[in-house]
Amino acid sequence: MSLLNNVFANPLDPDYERVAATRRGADEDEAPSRKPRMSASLVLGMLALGLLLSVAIVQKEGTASVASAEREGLAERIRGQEQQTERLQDAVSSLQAEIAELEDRQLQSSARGQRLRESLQNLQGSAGTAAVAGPGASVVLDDAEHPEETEKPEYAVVLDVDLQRVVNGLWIAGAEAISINDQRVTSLSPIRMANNVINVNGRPLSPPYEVLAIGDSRTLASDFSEGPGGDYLRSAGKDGIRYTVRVEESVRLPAGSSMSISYATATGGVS
Amino acid sequence: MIPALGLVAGIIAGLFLDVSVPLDLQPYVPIAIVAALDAVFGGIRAVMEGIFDDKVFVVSFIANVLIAALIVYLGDQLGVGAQLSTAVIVVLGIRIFTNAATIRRHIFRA
Repeated sequence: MSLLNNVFANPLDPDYERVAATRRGADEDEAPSRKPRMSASLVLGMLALGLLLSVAIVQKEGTASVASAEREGLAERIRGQEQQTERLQDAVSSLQAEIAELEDRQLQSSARGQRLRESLQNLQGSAGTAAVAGPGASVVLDDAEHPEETEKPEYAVVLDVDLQRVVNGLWIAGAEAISINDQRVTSLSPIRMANNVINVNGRPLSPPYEVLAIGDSRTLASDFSEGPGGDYLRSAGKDGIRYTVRVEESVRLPAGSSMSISYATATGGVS
Repeated sequence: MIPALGLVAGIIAGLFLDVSVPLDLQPYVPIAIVAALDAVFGGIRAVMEGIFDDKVFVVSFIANVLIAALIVYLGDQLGVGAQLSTAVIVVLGIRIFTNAATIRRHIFRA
């Protein structure tokens, strides 16, 4: 406390007093002038203070704008890359469409070609490399409205496991083709969580998740609800997950990305 | 009056000269400003009391700035830079306020 008191009591540099005292002692005969003594050094000091102030302010502004410019630049690069990815995806799908068209034209010319084309279309449909349409069912999953208010907040959001169970349940119920939010689920499609985002085919999805399946519209939805998928959904519903299962008269599933198999070779056997 | 003009001139000069502080010295600029403020208020008070002295003012100005920066630098090296700059600002802040109060009393007689 005495330190603080000292600071309070002697805010002025004691040297001023001392120098003034010696000066008074030196020219004792002269009348001590009480006139305020201005001097160039005080002006200079003020100048230096002003300089420091404005330099600091300018510097602060400068660093702030540099940081925001950097962030802006990064965001710009991300957007650019995303656009490029999109362009490439578009190019891929248009090339795929071109390939399909060329195949069609080649095969349509002969009767054998026609048969081949039909079986090819079938295979592409089930492999997921061609867009398909037909009757089926839809399962829509969404996070709980207020996940933090539920008993187990970590289960009140849709996880990759939920989607995996739903897709499995649909396969079991007889689905012939499945897509999640316009991502076709093929035999090579992973459904996985990364950083709280569910990725299907490596593409991030956002809720609500609409799982579309093509199958017998009379039995698909009910078989699903009664099967393991439905059981799982009901228990997930208790945790707060919102879901609806509906019969669909007609759904369209997009084509998945083309599957290029580089290591597996067909051995010819059926079993 | 003239010192105030000096302050304005300094600010304007700083804005237009585009002086850049080296990155390593940047953390010490705010502390240097507070130290300079303390010296300036001390000087003004000394002027008011008629005991102003050029040499004391210049020496106290430079020494204040350098010592304040040195203390913060030492603190940075020891890992307590934030605490030490708080200490410097508290002490100098108290001095500034007390000096400012005295100056106010000299000017307004209140």
